[in-house]
Amino acid sequence: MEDLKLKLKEQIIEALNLEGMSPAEIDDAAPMFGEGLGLDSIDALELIVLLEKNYSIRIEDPKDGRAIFESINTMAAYIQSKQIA
Amino acid sequence: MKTFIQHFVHIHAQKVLIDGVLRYEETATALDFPAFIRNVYKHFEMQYPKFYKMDDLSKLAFVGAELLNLKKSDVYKSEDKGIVLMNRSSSLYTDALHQASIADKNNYFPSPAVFVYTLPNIAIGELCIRHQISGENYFFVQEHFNPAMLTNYVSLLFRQKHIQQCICGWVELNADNYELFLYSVEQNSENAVKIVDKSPIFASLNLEVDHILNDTDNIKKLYKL
Repeated sequence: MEDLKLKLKEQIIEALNLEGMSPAEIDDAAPMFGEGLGLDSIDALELIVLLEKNYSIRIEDPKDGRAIFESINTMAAYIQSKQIA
Repeated sequence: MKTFIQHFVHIHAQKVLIDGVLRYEETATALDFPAFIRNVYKHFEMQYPKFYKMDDLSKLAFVGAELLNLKKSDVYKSEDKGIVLMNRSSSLYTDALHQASIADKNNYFPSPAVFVYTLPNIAIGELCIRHQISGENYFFVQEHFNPAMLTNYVSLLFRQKHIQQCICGWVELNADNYELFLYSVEQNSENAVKIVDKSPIFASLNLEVDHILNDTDNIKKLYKL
């Protein structure tokens, strides 16, 4: 799980152009939208593409993204649950 | 109605000139545009994280507008501020990036962050957000920089009292090249750049008490600096 979180952070930094940010600076539990990483609605769509491109996970309803993309923890848990399934 | 050039910025060939003075030059061997504009952003200590998410055309426009030093004379209401830009390639460079991401049906992953920049007006939108501009905004696509068209259009906006301040200029970016010439215009000459340099190019400008009038001849000359 820790390896997955680290990989996920690296992929997010690259996909969202979070210049100057390192994986270590992203708190696993911090909210990704609003106060945390300060992501916006376009970033949310990029995260949906990231899941599909790198993990072959398709989110059919973008509204589901709110819970899935709450933090690195929730995103990693969702990926893991899909991979097990 | 007289209007005055407040400040003007050139960015091309790895150089940045503000009010005609060389303020930054990339001395390293030829850098690609993303690396060059990132260096300029850092050199002038700009602070705007959204910069990194913009496409290259918007980055060029953003950095140019930051260097216009708008805050010094920024006393106008949002709706009294306008922006009129012009270029040759529209957003074609970003359009091509988007097209490449959807060309292969077996590897079809269009990026929303790229797609949103597939219009030149988005570069204007970024500047409107940054500088609280909600007055007239327009992006002309022309074969070459057209000072007469730009000056006439902007002068009309001032005459009809649609705006009191305007960012104007040429913001061109394509796969091979980039060129920015941006200037700000106001009726007030109080904060406008003063021309004390009497070198031939400046001496030939139409001035009023050392301030540059916003007219076609002046814009043509300043563009060629």
